[in-house]
Amino acid sequence: MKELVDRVFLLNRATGRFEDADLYHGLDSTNLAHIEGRWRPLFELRRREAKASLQTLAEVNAEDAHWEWGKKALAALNDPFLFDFFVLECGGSTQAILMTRKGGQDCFSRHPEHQRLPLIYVEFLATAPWNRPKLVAEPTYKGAGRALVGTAVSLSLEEEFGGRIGLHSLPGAEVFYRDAIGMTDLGADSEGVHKGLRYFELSSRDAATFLSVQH
Amino acid sequence: MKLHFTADWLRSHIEHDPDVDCDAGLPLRDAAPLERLMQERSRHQATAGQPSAASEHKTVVLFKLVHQLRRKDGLSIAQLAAKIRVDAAELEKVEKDPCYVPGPRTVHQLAEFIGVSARAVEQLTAASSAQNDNLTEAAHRFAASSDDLSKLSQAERRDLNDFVKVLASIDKKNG
Repeated sequence: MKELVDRVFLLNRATGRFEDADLYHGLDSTNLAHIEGRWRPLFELRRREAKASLQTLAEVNAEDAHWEWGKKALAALNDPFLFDFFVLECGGSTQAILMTRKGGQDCFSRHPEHQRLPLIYVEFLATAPWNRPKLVAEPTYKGAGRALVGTAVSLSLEEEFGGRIGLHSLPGAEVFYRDAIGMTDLGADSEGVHKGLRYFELSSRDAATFLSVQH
Repeated sequence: MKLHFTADWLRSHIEHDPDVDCDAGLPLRDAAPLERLMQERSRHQATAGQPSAASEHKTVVLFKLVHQLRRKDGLSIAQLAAKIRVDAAELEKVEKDPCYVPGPRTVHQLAEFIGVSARAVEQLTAASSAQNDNLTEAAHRFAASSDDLSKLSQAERRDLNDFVKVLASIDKKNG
């Protein structure tokens, strides 16, 4: 089940034009079919190509999903309403998915400005493989990350968390979260499920800046 | 949910953002993990109304309901007990012991304080086997909504009010 939140935009890199994109709260079988039938084959193709050319899977942003997914499923079983899904649809396909958590593990700030205050934790932000500059030579849409981070910040404000969000960036996306979004890099986790990934947080103050600054 | 950014803001940033990857968290390569999550979520919702699974949620909700009502009005346990004329020790048990089933008088007094039927409050205790799907769903949403902050947030107040509305819809003539 999903419901429309709003209409946003993505930039079609090929045409240089913005296209309408529907932002939904929740996801349905159509989105799952897109991921299985459209995302997965492209990931598999690029993984085979990367291996043949001796590239690492991290270099092409196509690492394996790891066993922690099982733990997330168990957590979702225990607290199903702590998790929210958002999907971006554009051009007849699912362009990106966001999964957030609003309570429990990982939902407390590590930021020195307000340690332990509650925040929205981004369990994952995943874009379609054809939108990833590291994965394909000519990526299609640009802007899914910006729209979904804006959605997570909006959810944080709606929950009265002051716009605070936290996430673990995948390798290669750090520059986006640090330089484009303006999140604080709080270093790589030395243990736990996100070991080796850098943790970023948007403080309440930075969330206000994030939403107010316009080019 | 309302977005806190404008179309102009989004357009201008997309144009100026670097052309880099933006993926975070758990890698998503196929639909299998999401299917499992959705199945477990559906299964949880489907079984929540069964007596064996529901009783724990009912007591947790009663605890939360009393706790949130106190926070909303800024009352201590002793103050609320005095206000509704029940034993403070029993009220404390309601909040602290998820398995505790309050006596009929306490249920009645709590219901009067909330402005709902005693039957509605009784359905939130472990002693009740009757809880309709609507109440179960509302109870689960309410249970997941609150956080342990000292003052009720606007969202928490809204969730509390929504939940009380569901309780209020339960037939008062049976209270």
